[in-house]
Amino acid sequence: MPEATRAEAVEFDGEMRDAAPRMRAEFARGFLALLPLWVAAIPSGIAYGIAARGAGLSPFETQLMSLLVFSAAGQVGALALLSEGLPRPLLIGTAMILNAQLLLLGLAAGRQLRPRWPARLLAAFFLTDGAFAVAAGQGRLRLPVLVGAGVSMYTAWNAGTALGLTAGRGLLAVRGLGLDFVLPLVFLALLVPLVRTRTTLGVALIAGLGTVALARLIPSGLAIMVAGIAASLGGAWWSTRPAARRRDETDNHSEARR
Amino acid sequence: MNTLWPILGMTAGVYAIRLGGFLLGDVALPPGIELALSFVPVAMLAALCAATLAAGAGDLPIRLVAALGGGIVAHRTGKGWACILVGMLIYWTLGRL
Repeated sequence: MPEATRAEAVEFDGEMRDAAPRMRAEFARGFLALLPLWVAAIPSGIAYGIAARGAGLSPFETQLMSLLVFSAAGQVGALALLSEGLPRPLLIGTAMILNAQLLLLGLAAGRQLRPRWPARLLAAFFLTDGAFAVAAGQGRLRLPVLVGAGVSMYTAWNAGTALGLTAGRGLLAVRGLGLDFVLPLVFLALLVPLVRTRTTLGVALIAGLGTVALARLIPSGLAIMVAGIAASLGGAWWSTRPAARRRDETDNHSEARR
Repeated sequence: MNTLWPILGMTAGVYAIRLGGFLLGDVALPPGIELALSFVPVAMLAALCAATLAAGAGDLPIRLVAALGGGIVAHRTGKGWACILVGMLIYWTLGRL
């Protein structure tokens, strides 16, 4: 082995040794940061488990769907369509449309992280709205944080499904507590610190109001993606104008002074 | 009802959506698009917040007031857990009136 290559290999080994504990710590940070979302994810997993049994799925199929598809919107949407006896390609297409926003989240995460292939395949499987939100809210996106948050959500969703399968309807009373309201609060808590300039405030307002307006016309996942793209493009266009750039710099400075 | 194949089909479809964005990670994009992608976290958090906020059936006014309260707390304290706690407390209190 040439000297240079050997030196590089040793350096690489050293990096890997240092990297493993740091990755474990970041994975744990992501897993823990998502715990507030369990409050909403477990009850909706329970509701899905009960609804799936009601729609005629076996316990095996019900749990398998949570283990493989891992998408609340996609799975609950599928139950509605299965009970109507719709053709299967339509079922798959609907599940994809209901998760359209994940395409944009994957793009944003992929551009920033540039993960290697095995990591990419793994990160993609565990990518959810909540995991992305939690990872993005931690400052610069880190792959182990994203995967840790994703595994955390996977655990809650599958535990909820299993609870719904075994414990049954009595657990539906949990829904009366309105725990699903935790979801917008978590997203809001992560959003507020990121809104530092007038431009980001504008982007947030366009995305939020656009989603609500569009969701009346098209499925919610698609509405989130279209409004998210429009607001991001609008923000990019706006922030390249010299006047806007000066104002954003002032906003950033006054924020830094606080 | 044989639902095994639809489940496997949905698995492939949803995974393709999840992986699709990651696949574009290496493609060279125009600087304007790169700049737009830097706004995606803010835009998506706002969109997800709005979608889940509007998802409640009849109690939208209560949800809006509670979210406003939580948002103010998040802005003032910079603490996420305080936003969630205050928001839920307002939501439960107003819901009981």
